[in-house]
Parts: sequence; structure tokens; C-alpha cells
Amino acid sequence: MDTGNRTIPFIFSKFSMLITNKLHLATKLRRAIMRKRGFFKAVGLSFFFLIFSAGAVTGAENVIKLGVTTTLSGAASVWGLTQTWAVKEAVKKVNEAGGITIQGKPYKFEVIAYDNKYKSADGATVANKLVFGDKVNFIIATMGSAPTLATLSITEPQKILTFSSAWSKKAKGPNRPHTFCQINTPVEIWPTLVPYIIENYPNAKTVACIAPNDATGWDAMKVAVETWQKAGLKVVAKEYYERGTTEFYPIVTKLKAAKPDIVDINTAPPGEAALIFRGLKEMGWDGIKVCPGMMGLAKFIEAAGNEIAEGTYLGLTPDFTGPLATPAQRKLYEKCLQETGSPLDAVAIGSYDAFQALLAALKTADSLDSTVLAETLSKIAFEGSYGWSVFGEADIYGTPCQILIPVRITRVQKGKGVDVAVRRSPELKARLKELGIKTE
Amino acid sequence: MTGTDSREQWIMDSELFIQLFINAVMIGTIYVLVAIGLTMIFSIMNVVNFAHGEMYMLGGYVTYFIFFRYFVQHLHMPIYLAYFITIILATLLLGIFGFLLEKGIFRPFRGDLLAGLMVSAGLSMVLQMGSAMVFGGKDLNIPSVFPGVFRVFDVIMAKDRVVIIGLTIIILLGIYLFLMRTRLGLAIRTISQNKEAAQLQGINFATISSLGFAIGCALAGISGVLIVPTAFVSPFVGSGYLMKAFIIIIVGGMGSIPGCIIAGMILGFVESFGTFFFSLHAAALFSFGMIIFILIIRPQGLLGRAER
Repeated sequence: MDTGNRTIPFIFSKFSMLITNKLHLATKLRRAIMRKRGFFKAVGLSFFFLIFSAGAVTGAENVIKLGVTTTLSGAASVWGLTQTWAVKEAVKKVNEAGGITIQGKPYKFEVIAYDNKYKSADGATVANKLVFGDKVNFIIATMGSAPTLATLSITEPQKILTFSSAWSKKAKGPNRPHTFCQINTPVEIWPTLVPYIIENYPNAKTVACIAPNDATGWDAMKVAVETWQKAGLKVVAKEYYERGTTEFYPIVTKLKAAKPDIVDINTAPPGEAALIFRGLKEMGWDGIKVCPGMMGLAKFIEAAGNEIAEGTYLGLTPDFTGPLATPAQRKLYEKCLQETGSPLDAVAIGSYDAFQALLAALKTADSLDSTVLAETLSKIAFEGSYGWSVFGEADIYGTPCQILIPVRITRVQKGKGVDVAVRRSPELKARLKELGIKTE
Repeated sequence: MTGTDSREQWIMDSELFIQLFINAVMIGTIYVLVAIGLTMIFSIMNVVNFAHGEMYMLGGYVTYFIFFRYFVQHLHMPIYLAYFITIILATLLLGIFGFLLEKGIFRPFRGDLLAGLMVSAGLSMVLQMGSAMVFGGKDLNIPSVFPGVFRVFDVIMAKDRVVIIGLTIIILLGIYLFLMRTRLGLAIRTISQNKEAAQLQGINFATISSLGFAIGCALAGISGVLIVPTAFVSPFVGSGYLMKAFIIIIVGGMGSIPGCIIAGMILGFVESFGTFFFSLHAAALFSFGMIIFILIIRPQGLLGRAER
């Protein structure tokens, strides 16, 4: 083919013309500067004073920069948008009330959010931008195990306190002393949900598990398979799919052929979960649908339709308007819906709570040092949207880095999520008792 | 195992095989539908349009906003009428958009493979980011236009997919008749075979290029309208389909429409059977393995013409 032979010289000739033009322009500019040196001196000095005075103005108000690395595009954007809103909402309240005073200096908070696209590479890019570009003091929210692990590879060496929503065990523990998890994870969800399902469906004997093919999916799949097997069920299929998949027929046929009583779709986002269950329904499967790690219930119901969504069990979509919700959660839910058009989810409210935890630690430690704050966080209790909470589960992760909040099991009933069961951590009760905090 | 058991097992296996076969045809049809416009643009302009997936995506947004939000939810139009109008509308809108893109952006790069590829890759990013800014990054689902299934014994065919197969056959027949029975089709075929000779015969390459690009984009738009109710639309949804379309046009032979149909069906079979007997990732591996294998034994693709 001769097209390449013509194209390359063409590109080179265009490029060299461009360079020649640029050099010519640069020469012209230099001559102009020489001619009008006085004018440029004046402009330069003006700029210097402008920057200096701007620095003086901003210096009057100390700012604590909070980074958010979340998913603002693609299938999981439904989570990232509300997560960012929740952090900004929490910060707005504190800033409006005058901010916080640390070692006698008044501070206000600023939120900087970027899209990590739920990908490791983008997670690293965003973390670099936040840590070295924006020089954030703390990372208040992350989304997705893969981008979070990439973030932690930058924030931990820099000793930046990070609140993550990553499920991976690699994102926690003694090797991650500055990282705290702000959301219930598979370790908390599956052991609560699986016994409930078995109790209500004693005839169910087999389960098929399907998860997204990434760090979040792998970790959750491991816990899911272990938990189902431990409960005495046979795992008849274990499949992974790429996020963003739109054609599920081949995989759905395989799942159906395994004849599972239960299909556990793990951490699939709402749109993909809807396509999987729609495909299964079309294939004639009508078993127990379980979405332990899915968020965005309203989106799921909208995408799947009431008939397909009906009866689905979820472990991470508490009903923030139901009888088990706190007044703070109800208020936040309504405001989020009003301002973003999307309902508040567990990740978003987790980030709201992470800010409450950070605020409590800042007040208690009276320091901006991440190491001091991390030590403080492992000891104190803070009042979040679920009520009083602490970080715990050192027996599982090696350090008390996991937020202890109730796990609520939700079931879709007539196009709405209804909380059908709740489990509270015994460790939380014990720790609050130790700290002398009375709860209901 | 008794005789009855083994017969039941055989029936079950046969039904499963038929199900996998039907799945393969359904998946293959969807891929052919997306790839056909891409191969048409290449055959006329010698441009590999990286922005083809975004034309599909725009067709999906037309479906979501005009069909679902406006016609169905706002005007409460009868669903089938609304869908029919949307198909016509998307064809026209994407066709006009394609025509303008060709005139405005691709004109200097007609016949220039490398430059066209770079320009279309840039256009793809612009359209993705632009859509993300205008429509938001969320996945938007549309309820099925033809809900329910046809069931024969234990073999199941979703109605919306049967409609896609039917409409794709009609579209392919239409393209065939257009190319084989009209003067314009003859001009397109002539250009795709020998540009210089066609121009010497008085065929206007510029007009045919614009028209070919418009038809290619319109086909991508139609595929968006047809497929999105079975899937979802987002600013980045086109990338996955573009990758499949590339596999198809490379395997089928760059610029060959019959090759595109055969390769689309092969890909459907690889995905359906590969996923069932191995895994989704094994099926993807087989797809790319197939490209390597075919390029080794037949570098011009199954039905492509060899370059001299």
C-alpha cells in the first residue's frame, strides 16, 4: 500500500512548517520585547504585586484541602456524583458555621474532586494531581479498589490520611497506617446476608456467582464463595465480566445452564446488574436474586423494571427514608435527591461520615499531622449519620481501620427498597460502652 | 444411566446447542449491524473511522432522549410508532451529521489512511468528552421496546433481539439493493474498486465520499437505536462496539460487506460457544487469536482484496 508512504512525508512537512513558523514568531516577539522593554517591565511588576497581594489575601484564611478521587463517568458514576455531593454538603455545613480552629488558627475546608474512571491508571494520575499538584491535606473519599490501591501507593509514603471505600483487604491493615475504610465491605456484608437468605429459603442449595473483573470483584468474589460454601451451599458457577459490558447473553446462558437456585451478582453496578437479571429472566430463570455489593437501587429498579427487580436482596442499599434510618440520614437523602436528582447511597453517606470522623479527630488531636490523626481515629468515637461510631475490626485487618456501622439487608418490594433485617457490630457496642457513650 | 435418562440428556444438550447457536446469531447480527457502516466508509474513503463507535453512541442518545424521554414519557405516543419515527429520525440526524463531518473535517484526508485514522481518533475523544459534558457520565437504560420472549421447547429468543435480526436483514437487503441496483450504488462500487478509474469515468469522488460517510454514520446511528433498548447508553459505550467492529472488518476483509457479515457471525459464534464452554475472557482471547490466525494465512481478510 502506498498510503503510508505519502502520509509520513506529508506529516513531516506540515510539522517542519509549523516549527519554522513558531521560530519566526518567537524572533518577532523577542524584537518586540526589546523595543518595549519598559512596558513589559511594568506588566511584570504588576503581575508580581498582583500575585503577592493575592497571596496576602488567601493567607488570611487557612484552608484544609480535602481530595476526592471518585468515579464521575461510566457505569459507576452514579455512585461518584452523590459521593462528591455528600462530602461537599458535610464541608459546607462546617464552613458556614465558621470552620475549625486548630492550634489557635482558624481553618476552612476546600473540596477538590477528580474522576478516577474506576481504573487503576487514572487512580494514580488523580492521586498524583491531588497530592503533588493541589497539595491536599487529606483524601476524604475514594472509589473503587483498583484506583484506591493506586492512590494508596502515593498517599501512604506521603503520610496522607485517606478515607477509602475500597473493599480490597490490601487497602487496609498495618501496611496502611494512614488509611481508614468508611463503608461496609464484603467481610461485613456477606456473613450477614447469606444466613438471612438461607433462613428464608431453606430449599436453596446452589448458587452462581458473577462479578466484575477487577480488584473489587476479585476480593468480593473470594468472600462470597467462601461464605456461601461455609453456609453449606454449592457454588455451581463462578464468572467474571468486564465492566462496561453490554452483551451478557453468552454469560447468562452459562449461568442458567448451571441451574442455580440463587444468583449472586456481587458488586455489579446497577445498569449491568439490570442487564444480567433481564437476560436471566428472558432465559426463563426465576430464582433468588442477590446483589450484596450493589449501590444505586433506584437506578437498578429503573433499568431492570419493577417486575425483574422485584424480590432482589441487597446488602449495601439501606433505605434512608425507612423506619431504620436516622433523622440525619432522612434529611440528607431528601437534600441529595433535590440537588443532584440521584438518591443518596451507602458510599456517599460513608464519605459524609468520614468527614465527621476527620472533624472529630482534628478537634481531639488539635493537629493537622496525619500520623497523629490516624492514632486518634483508632481511639475515639464520632457521631456520624448512623449515630455514634468507631473504627474497629483489628482482629480481622490487623489495625482498627474499618468503620463500624450497621449492615442492613434490603429487599425490593413493589418498586422500592425495604430494609428487612439489620445487624449491629458487637464490637461497636463494647467500644462505645468503654468510652462511656450511651446508645439506644 | 437408563435409556430414558440418556434421551433426556440428549434433548437437553440439543436444546442447549440450539440456544447457543441462536445466541450466536443474535450477537453476530448486532456486531454486523455496527460494523457494516465502518466497512462501508473504509471501502469508499479508505478511512478507518475511529469515531464510528461514537456515532453508535449518538444514535443511543437520540433513542434515550427523543424516543424514551420525549415521545414515550412526554408525548405518550404509541410505543411502536414512536420507535419507528425514532429510527427514521436517527438515520436522518446521524446521516446529516456524518455528511457535515466529512465535508468539514475528513475532506482533506480522503483516501489518506493514516491521517484519517488520526483525525477520527481525535474526533472520537471530542465526541466522548462532549457527550459526557452534555449528557453526564451515567449509564442510561431504556425499557425494552419489545418485551418478552419467543419460546420453542426450552429454546428462548428475546423478542427485541428477534426484531434486531429482522431489521438488520432488511437493512442489509436495502444496502445490497442500493449498491447493486442503483446508479449511485454503482458509483460507490466503482470508487471502492478503483478511485482513479472511477474519476476518469466522471464519477465525483468528493460527492460519493460525503455520501458514503453519511450512510456509514446513519447505519451506526440505526444500530444505536436498535441495540440500546437491549443494553444501555453512556458516553463511552461506543468503544466496546468499535473494538468488535474492527475485529469484524479485519477478519472479513477491509471494505468487504459480505466479509463483514461472515466475520460478524463468526465472532458471534466464538463469543457464544467460547463463553459457554470456557469463559468470557477465553472467548475474547479466541477472537483476537482468530485475527492473528486469519492475518497470517490470509492477510487481506476472508473476502478482502489483496493490495498490489
